Amino acid sequence: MTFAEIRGTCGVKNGEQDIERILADLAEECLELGKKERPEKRWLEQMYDRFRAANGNMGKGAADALLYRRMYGAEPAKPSDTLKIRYWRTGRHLPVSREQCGRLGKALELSGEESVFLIQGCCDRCDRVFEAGEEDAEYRERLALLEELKREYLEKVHPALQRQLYHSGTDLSRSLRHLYYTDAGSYLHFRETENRGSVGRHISSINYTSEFGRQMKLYGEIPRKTMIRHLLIFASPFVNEKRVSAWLKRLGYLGLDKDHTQTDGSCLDRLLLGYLRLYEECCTGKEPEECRIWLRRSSRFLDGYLEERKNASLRLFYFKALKYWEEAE
Amino acid sequence: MKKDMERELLNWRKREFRLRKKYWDTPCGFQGRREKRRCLEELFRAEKEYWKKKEHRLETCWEPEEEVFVGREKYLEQIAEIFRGGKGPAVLYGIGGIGKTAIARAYGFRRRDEYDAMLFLTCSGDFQMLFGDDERVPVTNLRYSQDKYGNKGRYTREKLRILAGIGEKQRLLLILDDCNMEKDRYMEQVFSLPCHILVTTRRDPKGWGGCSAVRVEELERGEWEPFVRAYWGGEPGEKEWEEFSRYWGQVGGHTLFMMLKVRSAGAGSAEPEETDTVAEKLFGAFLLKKQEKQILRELSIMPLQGIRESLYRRVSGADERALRHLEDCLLVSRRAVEEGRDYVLSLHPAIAEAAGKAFVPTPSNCRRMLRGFCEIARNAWNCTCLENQQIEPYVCAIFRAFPKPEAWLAREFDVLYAWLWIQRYFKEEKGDFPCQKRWIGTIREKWSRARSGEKTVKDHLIDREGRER
Repeated sequence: MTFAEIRGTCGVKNGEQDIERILADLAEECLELGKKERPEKRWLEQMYDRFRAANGNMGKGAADALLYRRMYGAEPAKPSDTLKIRYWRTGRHLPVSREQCGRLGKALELSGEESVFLIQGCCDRCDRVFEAGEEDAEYRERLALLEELKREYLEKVHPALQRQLYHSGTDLSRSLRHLYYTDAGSYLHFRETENRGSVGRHISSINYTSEFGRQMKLYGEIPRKTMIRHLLIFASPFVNEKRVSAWLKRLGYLGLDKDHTQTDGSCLDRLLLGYLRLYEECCTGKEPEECRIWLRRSSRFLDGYLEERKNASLRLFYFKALKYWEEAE
Repeated sequence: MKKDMERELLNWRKREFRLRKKYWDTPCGFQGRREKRRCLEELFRAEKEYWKKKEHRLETCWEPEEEVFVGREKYLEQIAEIFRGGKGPAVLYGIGGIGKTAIARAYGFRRRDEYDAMLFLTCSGDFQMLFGDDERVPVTNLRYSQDKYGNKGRYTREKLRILAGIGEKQRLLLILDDCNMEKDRYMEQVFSLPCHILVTTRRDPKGWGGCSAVRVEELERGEWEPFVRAYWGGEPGEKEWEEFSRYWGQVGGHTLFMMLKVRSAGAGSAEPEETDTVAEKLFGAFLLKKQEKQILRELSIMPLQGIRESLYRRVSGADERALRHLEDCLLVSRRAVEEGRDYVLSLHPAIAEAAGKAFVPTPSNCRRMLRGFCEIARNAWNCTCLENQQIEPYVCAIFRAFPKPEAWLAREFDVLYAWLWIQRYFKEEKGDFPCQKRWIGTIREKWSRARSGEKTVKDHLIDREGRER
């Protein structure tokens, strides 16, 4: 049931509880689906079966060996060499590097689109990785999108909050990490009582500092879940399903798809889509500040619910560096 | 650089508006044109309010009225020439009572259409006292505050900077009357305001620099007869002409004295006795009653810009008939303010000086007025700084006139002293009242002997205030 349907039966008075109920049901649904077989695995199996059929309906063992030969240009030295291909096929493991992923795609004779899906869908990664010195036109285009979202994020900082930042917020770009970190925290359940009128503690994790800095330049491997988190934090409250999906695609990731699963099988997309739809139903026509409050409150509820269920994979805004903050509290 | 929070908030709202417009399809985006238009209108209104609050302009201006004025055309032309050539400020200097102020006022009246705003300021004290006074130079959205500006000096500089901004946008005429200081630390800043500045002074301004001086002499021969006719109100008889001619020679053609002479003769007053002092010559022409002398005595110690009639009558209990009589004798000037709802009483500087010599004001013979001001000052604790400022020039004038208060009026002076403390005069590094500093020391010493000597004068005042509350 959607919120609108429930509202019609229960009345506005119980609105908040109804939202919590819907979110809880959504979380349960995703948790249940997460235990099932990944659709991406089925897709890979189909590709594998097509490959076998194209090569004289060979057996699975022979097909694995052929794939190995095509991938590495040599015969498997021992039987265990083809084991990883079997594991990939059965969904037990995934190729560890994108190079391996690329070789597999070529070996399976996947089309361009299928190869991209292998990386984006099956491995839940970005189609490309950039490093310093490897910037090309596509990189610049993607970086421009991220820069635009960052700029808009900083523009949304309230003047009263700006004054609490470094040098009274005269150069907000220097406080991006600080703002991001405290904002991310506000979406978590254990930050419920935090005063939103003030900026929280600065992050002191050196690892996170360098990691965040690199991600903001789109360097290195950035997990899809992390990128979704960046997009939601930067763009909030001006988010909806269509926009988030479009941004993901422009940044080289798979767009939002309710059937897509992460590598551990968890249905993050389904959860996010349900969350964004509920947001749209509850907040359309409201002021931005009201929308922000709704997003934070509902996220905190969802985060608490998932933590109770001991599922970190679906906790969208939670990341390791925040764990130290939680412990410090 | 200090940030303008209101401006930042406005800019932030504009940015939010742009984002709502850009992301129209998200929940907090604009759902329709109507909503967008409504939001835009709100933004425009907020911005208009903001600029209205920031706008600085003169709250009140001088509205010159037609007054009796004869001759002096060459001076008016000289002033206009100085302004045309950009050689201002124009400084009219000469002895007291020669007609400098009258020329300045006549210039303001005749050229009123050439200016958007005019200010007529009588300089009592220095420029900091003058421009720092929000009563005399009121500017919208600008008020002195200790928390914001600290000392008055900083506020004065800021105000002069804002006046410069006003002067650039408007055609402004600034008349500084009776500006007799030798030098002032703000003189350069004041004289460089981007407006026409006309100054009257009794001293030679060559020491000031950066201005064009015009020496004002007695009326010329050809101007005397129209002058006499104007003040006589008709054509005097031969006998009167002879008398005026004789008196003219006696006072050296002094404009003010001649004016008073013509008026007194017209009023049918008795012949003045032959006396030595200017003061007696001045007042001897009029039959002044005790009340009228008292008014002149009291007004002589008041600031030159005058005092509101309503306030003066409240503190002194002056009789209205006595005031009207003095006004008719041209001894007291009465000027309407607030569209005639009140009046300002003032004495010409020469008359004030003469009255001071003739009637010798002392704390004792001005005690009624002193007590009147005390009653007002006693309530200073319950008033804002701006409300208290209304009697500021008069309290300062009292202390200037009576640097050594009499012991039996100590209570009254104590109240006025407390008022000075409330208005933070003791935080001023350069006090205008060095005598009061000595007096403070004397009082402190006495009170220290009477008490344990641990408390300061300020502590004592705080204690007393607490008890009264």
